[in-house]
Amino acid sequence: MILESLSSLMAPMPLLAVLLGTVSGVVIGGMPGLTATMAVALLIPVTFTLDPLIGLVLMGGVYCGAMYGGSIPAILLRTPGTPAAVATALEGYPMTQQGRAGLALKVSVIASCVGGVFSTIILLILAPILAQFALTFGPPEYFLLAILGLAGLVSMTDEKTGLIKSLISGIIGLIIAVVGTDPISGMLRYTAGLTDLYDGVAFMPVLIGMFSISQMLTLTGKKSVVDNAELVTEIKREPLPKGIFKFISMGSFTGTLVGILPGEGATIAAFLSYNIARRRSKKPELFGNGNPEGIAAAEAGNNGCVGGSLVPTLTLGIPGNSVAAALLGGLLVHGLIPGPELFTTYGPMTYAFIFSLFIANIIFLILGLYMAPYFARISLTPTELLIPVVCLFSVLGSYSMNNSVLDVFLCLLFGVGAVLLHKTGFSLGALILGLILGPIAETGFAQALIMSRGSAAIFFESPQALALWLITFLLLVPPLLNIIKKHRMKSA
Amino acid sequence: MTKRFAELLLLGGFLVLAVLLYNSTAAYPKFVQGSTAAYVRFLAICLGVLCLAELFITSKNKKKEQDSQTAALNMAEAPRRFWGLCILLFIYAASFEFLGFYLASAIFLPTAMLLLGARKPLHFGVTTIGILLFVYLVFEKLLGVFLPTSSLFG
Amino acid sequence: MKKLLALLMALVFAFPMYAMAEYPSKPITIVVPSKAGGSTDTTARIFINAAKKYWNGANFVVQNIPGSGGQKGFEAIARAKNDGHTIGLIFTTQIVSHVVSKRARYTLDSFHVMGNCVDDPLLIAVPKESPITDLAGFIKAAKENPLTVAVNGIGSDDFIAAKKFEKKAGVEFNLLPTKGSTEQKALILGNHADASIMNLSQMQAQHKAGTARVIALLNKERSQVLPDVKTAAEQGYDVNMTATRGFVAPAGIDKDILAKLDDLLVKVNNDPDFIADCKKNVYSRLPMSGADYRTYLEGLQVETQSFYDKNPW
Repeated sequence: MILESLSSLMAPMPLLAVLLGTVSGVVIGGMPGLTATMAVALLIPVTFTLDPLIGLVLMGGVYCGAMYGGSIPAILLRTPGTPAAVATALEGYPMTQQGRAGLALKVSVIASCVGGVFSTIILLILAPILAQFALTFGPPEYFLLAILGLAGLVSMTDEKTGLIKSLISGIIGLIIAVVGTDPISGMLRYTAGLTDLYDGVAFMPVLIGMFSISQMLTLTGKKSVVDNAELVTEIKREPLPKGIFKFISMGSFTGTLVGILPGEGATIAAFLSYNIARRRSKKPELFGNGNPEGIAAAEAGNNGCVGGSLVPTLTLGIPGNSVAAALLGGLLVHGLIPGPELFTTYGPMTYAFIFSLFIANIIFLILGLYMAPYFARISLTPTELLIPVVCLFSVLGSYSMNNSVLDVFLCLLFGVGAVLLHKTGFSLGALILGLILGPIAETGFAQALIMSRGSAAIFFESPQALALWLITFLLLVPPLLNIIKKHRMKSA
Repeated sequence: MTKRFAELLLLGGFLVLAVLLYNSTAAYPKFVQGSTAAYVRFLAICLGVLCLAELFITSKNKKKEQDSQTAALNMAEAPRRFWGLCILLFIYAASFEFLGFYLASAIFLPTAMLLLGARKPLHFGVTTIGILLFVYLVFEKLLGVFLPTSSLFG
Repeated sequence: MKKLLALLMALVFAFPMYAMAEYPSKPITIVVPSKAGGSTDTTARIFINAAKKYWNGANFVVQNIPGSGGQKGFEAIARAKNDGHTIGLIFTTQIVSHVVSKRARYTLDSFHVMGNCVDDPLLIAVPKESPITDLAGFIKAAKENPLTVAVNGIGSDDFIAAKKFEKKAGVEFNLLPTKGSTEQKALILGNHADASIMNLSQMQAQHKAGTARVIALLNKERSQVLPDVKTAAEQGYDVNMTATRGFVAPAGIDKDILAKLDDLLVKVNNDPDFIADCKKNVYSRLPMSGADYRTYLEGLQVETQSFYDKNPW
């Protein structure tokens, strides 16, 4: 069966489809405001007429490519093309400022590829078993997963932002996430009667504002993104840092695991693995100032989600995110019902699709490695041209997500606000983390209490829940001890 | 305005926010008082306590005031360009639905470039036309993204 | 100066003239009030595939305006210019529940109802581990202990169906609102909720694969997709609920244009390719004329209002 699927894939048409899908995926992922979902939706009516395999591999290519593409502008311009690339921007952009964009891009593409390939291998071998594991996660476990993510707030602390300030930033993020419809009662909260806010403050515009617009405003006082343009040529051929693969594998593992949970996104995967890398690094003081280890973990994490999210999609018909949902639609159209049959009766098609993901990963690896030095030159563009263009795409991106002018204003307000918060020492990363995890935390908390009819014991019942408590605890203790130790040293 | 003052102002603002948020939860329907309302109350309390703690610590450190704390809050290295770009961006966003995307952008791009110190006419033309063409081809033609059209004409 | 003014005047007047040219004079926008890739979106796209055959040279484009349970999209349709170049899809019960909950900036009168296309009946699903196999067992269990029943958000078709069922069977559920069918599926397949009320298209694959069990279909007839599932009426509880997806145009369009649009929908509804595409997507067709669909919507609004009055959200 494997051979059969390989031979059906190794024809010119499917290969061309993978190539086309991947390349357009990278472009789409790289533009803020264009999402892989848009592209995949456009492909759906096309897939009716195409051979099912061609349609599927096209979608798969777009999915893989877009996940990687988001990191390119994140590194070069601090403008995440996809929300999942925020963590990459935290480390990648400082590297660009130091003139090391070439290395940052290289690390990101290698980590993306490894993450993607690893998760696809998992999908190939362990899909049915892991799907069962994913199902054991219910609302209480999702709430604890959010808590685990929020534990990362503590590690967002560095010299510039104290512990309390980063906690305050995180809570502000959680509070912003409260705006919108109450998930349980359906009541509208703090929406000021604006229909655009009924679904909550849109995530992407805030992100673009806080990262991209704020950075462009700050750049008005500079000649180019890179502090010292002469450095660029000097460290052009910087080798990969030693020990980077430890972080790539850590990220791949975390990303795949989080991706398998239906409904959890690549953004959370990237942040979680970024925080774990920060904990495990021997040079944690470099984090936030351009540490390739952070890029490696974050990118491996969000690409690990690709294969991971397909596990519940293919085995159970539960799509992990909107791209997977569109893919599922494509499967159903051709009468392929997710479940065990997909791996037996329809095996040749399914396996060919999975193998095409490997090819997609290799394609963007080659593309990324080859293009990295050219992309890196973008960082040398003079600001008088760069700023207007990036601003235009930021505004366009925040508009086109929801066709909302209000979102554009939100983006700009958060942009100016972010400059102020940054200057007064509040952590933007922490705020974003709160904003991402807020809805999951609240819904999980409230749903769990409905299930248990008000008893909080539900958060301590399942072994999964206990394991999550333990990991949170383990992640929390060392930094806290560290902070207390430092505090004592200071006062002594 | 010193950096310290700005910080105190922000913390004070957050404190007010915490109180308002806490009070607002009373208006939630009864059957969510134990779930979502409790969650929002918890957030409000956390924010309040943390702000108070930060205020307490900053006031304690008052004696060994560092230079960085008393320095003026420097939002921008080039204030004219910074605030100019801010205002320009808001005007751009506001003109979006009135002028339509293309016209608004065709005005915004050169103005912003001029503000930031570009002087070569070739740059203005090539960048503006190139970007708008790219948006038209990729966003509108290829992916069918809807861009605001002008309400001025038809 | 005068000449310039005259020229400007001429231009201003010329524009409407230009727009009066034969309909359709430009691409027709179909507003889809949900995300790209969803089932409503797919309905629009297969509609276009078929519609192109009947209107030679006409172009259709899909504009996705997701958000707030479709409300943003519905409002956009109601607000759109009534020159016939913008039409839109609506889905129930959200279209009326926003009106009922006083949030909508539209009423049913803001639209000209063109007619219905497809529908997606609701069903009751339980985890495969559950001892419940039919409605009788379901109600017995519910009377002993309130069952946790997952629904899509408040005011959705699932929610109204649950309320209807509660009323008919005299039981009370411990309702668990979720963010959508993905979450509902995970809750049922992972045995976290006792039951879920959701759409046929969302659970049919799982029932066929044996990972979940559908115990009743809330529809008048059995579905061709799952012929083994009994309807609720067959099991003694006459509760019917379906999610319809139909087309509307903003109110106030020229009569001739409306006649053209209505005619197009009728043609597409009977088009063999469209029927084939629906079958591929497991959509059940429910063609309704504009007048019939309007009556249906009005009835649904009255019904939803009665639930809202009892327990507002």
